[in-house]
Formats: sequence, structure tokens, C-alpha cells
Amino acid sequence: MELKDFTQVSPYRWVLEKDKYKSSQVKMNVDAEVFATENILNNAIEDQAIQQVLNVSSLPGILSCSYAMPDIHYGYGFCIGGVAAFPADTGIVSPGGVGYDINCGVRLLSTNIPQDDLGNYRENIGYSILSKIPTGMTKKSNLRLSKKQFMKVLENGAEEIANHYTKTGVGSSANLKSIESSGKLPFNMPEIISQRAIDRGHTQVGSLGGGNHFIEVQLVDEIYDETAAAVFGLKKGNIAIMIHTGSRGFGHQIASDYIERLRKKNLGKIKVNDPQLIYAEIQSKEGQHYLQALNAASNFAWANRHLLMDDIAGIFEDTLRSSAQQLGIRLVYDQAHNIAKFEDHVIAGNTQKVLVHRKGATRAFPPGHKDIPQEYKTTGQPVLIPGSMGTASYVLRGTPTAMELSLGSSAHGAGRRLSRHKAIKFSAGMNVRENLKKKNILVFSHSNKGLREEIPEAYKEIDEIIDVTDGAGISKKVARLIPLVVVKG
Amino acid sequence: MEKYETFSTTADVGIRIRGSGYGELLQSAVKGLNLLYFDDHNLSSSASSSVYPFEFHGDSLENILVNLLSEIVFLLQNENKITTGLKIKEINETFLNADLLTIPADKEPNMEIKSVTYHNLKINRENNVLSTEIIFDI
Repeated sequence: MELKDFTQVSPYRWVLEKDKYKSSQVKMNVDAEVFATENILNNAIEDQAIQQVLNVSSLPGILSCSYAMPDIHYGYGFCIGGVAAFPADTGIVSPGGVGYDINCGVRLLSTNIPQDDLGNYRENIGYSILSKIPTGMTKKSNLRLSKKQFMKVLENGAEEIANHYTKTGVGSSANLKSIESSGKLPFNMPEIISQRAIDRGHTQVGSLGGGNHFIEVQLVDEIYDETAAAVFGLKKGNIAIMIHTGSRGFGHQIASDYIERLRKKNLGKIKVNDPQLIYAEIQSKEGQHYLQALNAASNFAWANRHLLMDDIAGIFEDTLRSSAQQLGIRLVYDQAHNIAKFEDHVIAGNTQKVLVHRKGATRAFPPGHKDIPQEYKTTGQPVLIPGSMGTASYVLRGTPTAMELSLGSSAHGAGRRLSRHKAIKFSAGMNVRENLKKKNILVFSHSNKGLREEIPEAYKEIDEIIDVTDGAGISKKVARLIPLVVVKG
Repeated sequence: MEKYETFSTTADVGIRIRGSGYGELLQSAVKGLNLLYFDDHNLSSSASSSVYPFEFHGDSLENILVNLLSEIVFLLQNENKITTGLKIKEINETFLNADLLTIPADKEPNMEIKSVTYHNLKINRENNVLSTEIIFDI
């Protein structure tokens, strides 16, 4: 496959038409559409991510297009940045369209703390977060939950944390509306959750994990849309806080359990281009069970980020000797970027209920949409796109164009450019902490090797991804945030 | 090719393993995983070793491999145990009965492995040597 196989329908939209492109490996049921610059598209062709977009286009019952967002890169089953919808009544659900870290996502808090007031406290805040919040693989949460309490977290998500486990008021139930789906999806089948998933998850509510997960204290550095920024509570020169993590071992186990079950169930019956694209009919017993387990893991992730938010607000209270209320710490929004959810979309002129898979992609609903909080009805929902360790993150807002062009979806992050081995090689002799300190970024991590794997050079240019996202109109820029303190898992 | 080595994809990591039979292939997988986790493939049992029995009925050797490695990931993540070796009692293409020899983990692994994937997983057989690549989601 080459660039010339694509039709460029507008500056940042490229379509591979099913009727024109003939592949010996894949029978496309719908077109493939990629939001990209020529550079991004060429890279995606080279790293085989486009082949994965094609594989998804061949799934039965897929509606509209097999989409890829501007941060497209190679994944399993779906590419990272992959979006696809299937009919709610007759369609399919695929764990490979969600990923292993179910409801991995981002939460953004705004504050009324001016950068100057943070001043010398930055070091203390970084050390406190690293010492008080469990990071890395084997660290267990400070919260000790019985199995009964854990099952309530799976049932009620962030609401359970808000009602029973928060200390600062930032996590009160009044703020749940600022979470996608209010931090809770329906889950009422505890019997379908494996004991292993419970074992892996019950000690991890309130932990960051490792890899690319992070907590950042950021500076609101640039405002592009004054009106939306004011609604989101973002003021130039003030501090913001971003949390990136997911459903930890619980979600990973749910994904593994269901890939294994669906694989066994369909052995020799379903032929897919990639074993990770195994699927179940939504209305089948297996499909219903996976969706329930997916919801449980999504609820875990929202609960996890809710508890982390409360812990971080507590650290700010202790360090700055003011209450979270006085510091103006406010939950702006929390959104998933690995999930499958039922939504209404216009497909071929008709509104229908569909199951949208977003893997490494965020929801970007427009002003007035019924599923976004009342306070954002005039702006569209916040769309949170983090950059890499040393680069900016962006806040955008959802648009009607996203509903027309991308099933209400947008990019989710920078996406890796270098493998971890290459990043380690690239950073040989490099003092990552010192380099970032020269850029006024303090980095805290238990792992030096982990930091080298996550060097900014290992990631794609976030600015190019934002330019495509904004230029294609699938989200519009509101603010740029730059890191001041980075805590890595 | 060594009996085990690590490699990276753009976003994730994997191990490349080979062995002259089912048992040796699985032993290589254990060592390869330790290389990935700890940069150390020669971890050995000690006085504080403990044994975890592992029995699995699968549908293929690929299926056994994924489930064995998933068990080792679980033991490290949840029980804080490093699997140093495998004592195989019975093995065929769809069945494994083995003891996992473990020691307490006294160091942080290099990375958090979320899951063992089936991505492009196929065990190749050439001149009685088995080989494959396994990718881990991290």
C-alpha cells in the first residue's frame, strides 16, 4: 500500500475507498478514513497501522468507515487511534477494539493558583506525590478494600469513591457530572468477573501504574478560545493538574479473560485477519458478558482517577496550607480513551444506536449534545490530549464536525515514535532529569530506565497532531498546558 | 538466534524464543521474560524458593504459552514472586503440568506488563526447532 492509493478529500482527510483499493489480504466492507498530514499517513503506512485500519474495515456489520485519528500508530487488533461503530442490535463487540487498559483516560483539574504562588513548592509537591501515591507495577494502593467494598466500586464507579472515600471535597458527588458518563456505566453481573481479575484489582484502586501513565502539574500557557477556556475554568498563568491512568490490573485481566473466552468459543468458526480482532455478537451471551465486564473495568478506572484526584488535592492542601476550595481546585473533565459505548449517531442519513469502539481515541461531542454536562452545553465537551513528558498538552472542545466526520471522536495523545529499545539507545549518556530541569520541568520517578524510555524524543510531535485535529475540525483548540512537575509511574 | 532475546515494537515489547522441543521453548520463554523484566536471565532458586503448581488444558501450544506467561506476570504483580524456572511434569501440544519455581521479588521490574498478547503469535517449526515471538502490552 502506498500514499497514492488514498484520496485526499480535504487537507487533513485521506480515504482509502473499498471499491477502488484491492487487497489480497482483506475484503473491506467500508472505506478506511485517516485524519493526517502526508507525513503522519506515510508513517502509518510504514509501521503497518494502516493495515490494521483495513483489518477493522473487514469486520462484519461495520458502519460508516473504519476511522483512524491523527495520532494513529500500530497496536493490536485495532490500531491506536482506531474508531469503529457497529449496530447496537445486530452488530459485534471486539475486545481488540478497546485494548487491554480498559478506560485508560485523562482527568484535568483547574486551579486558581498563579504560577508564582507555586514557586518553591514545586519540589515538595513532586516528592509528596511520588511518595504518597503508589506508582509502578507492584505497588499496592493505600486504600484497603474488602471484596464486598470492591464490588461496590465496580458497580458504582466514581460515585462510590465520592460517597465513601474522599477527604477534600473536590471529589464530592456534586462533581460527578464532570466525568464522561458521570463516571459510571451499568454493571449488575458480578458473577461474570473472574476471581483473578478481582485478585489483580482490589488492591489497586488509587494507584497510578507504570509505563506512560503520569501525574503532571501544568501551567496554562496559552489560550486560543477565551470563551471556552473561561467555561472550563482555565486562566492563563494559573496551575492545572492532569492525571493519566486506567483500570490497572483489573482491566488488563478483564481484557485477557474475554479475548481468551471469545477465542475458545469461536475456534475454527470465525476467521479474522488478526487473532486480537476476535469478536462476539453484541446480543449474544458472550457479547453481553464482555460488555458488562467492560463496564465494570470502566467504573474501576473512573473510581481510580477519582481517588487519585482527591489524594492529589490533599497534597496541595497540605503543601500550600490552604483548602482545596481556597485553591480553586476543580474537576474540569475526565474522559476515556480506550472504551466501547452505545451512542446515537447519524449513519447514512438516519439516526441509530450504535456501539462505538474508541481505542486510543477520545469522545468529542459538540455543543448542545444530550450526553455532555449542562455547564458545557454552549462550548462542547472538553477534549483532553496530553503530550509527552517534556512537551505541551492541549485542551480542545468537541464540535459538530466531529459528529459528521469521525463518529464524535478525536485524537488522544502524542503516540510513540521510537520503540523503548530505541529510546534507551537514543538517551545513552543523557541525564533526562537534568535536561528537563533546564526546561523548567521537574521530573519525579522511581525508575531511571523508565524515564529514558519516555524521553520526549520518543514521541511524535504533539503540535502536528493538534494541527490536524483542529484543522480537520474534529475538535477545536482551547488552551495549551505546559508541564512544570511530572510524576511518572 | 539466541534461545531467548528481547525486542521492541513502536509501542510495546516482546521476546523472541526458540527451543528444541515444547519444554525447552517454554523454558526459554521464562528466561526471556526475566530478561525483559530484570535484565537478568539467570535468576536462580534459593533457600526461600517456593513452588506454584500450574496445570493448563489448552487448544494449542500458543495457547499454553500465553497462559503460562500470564501466570508468571500475575505471580510477580500480585504475589511479588519472580519465576526463576519451570519443572515440567507432563507436556504435549495442548496440555502442560508443571511447577513454577519462584523466589521473593526483591527488586522493581523494568516495566509493568499489562497482558500477554496473541498478536501475530505463531510457533514455527523448522528442523525440529520451535521458535516464535510473543508481544506484551505494556
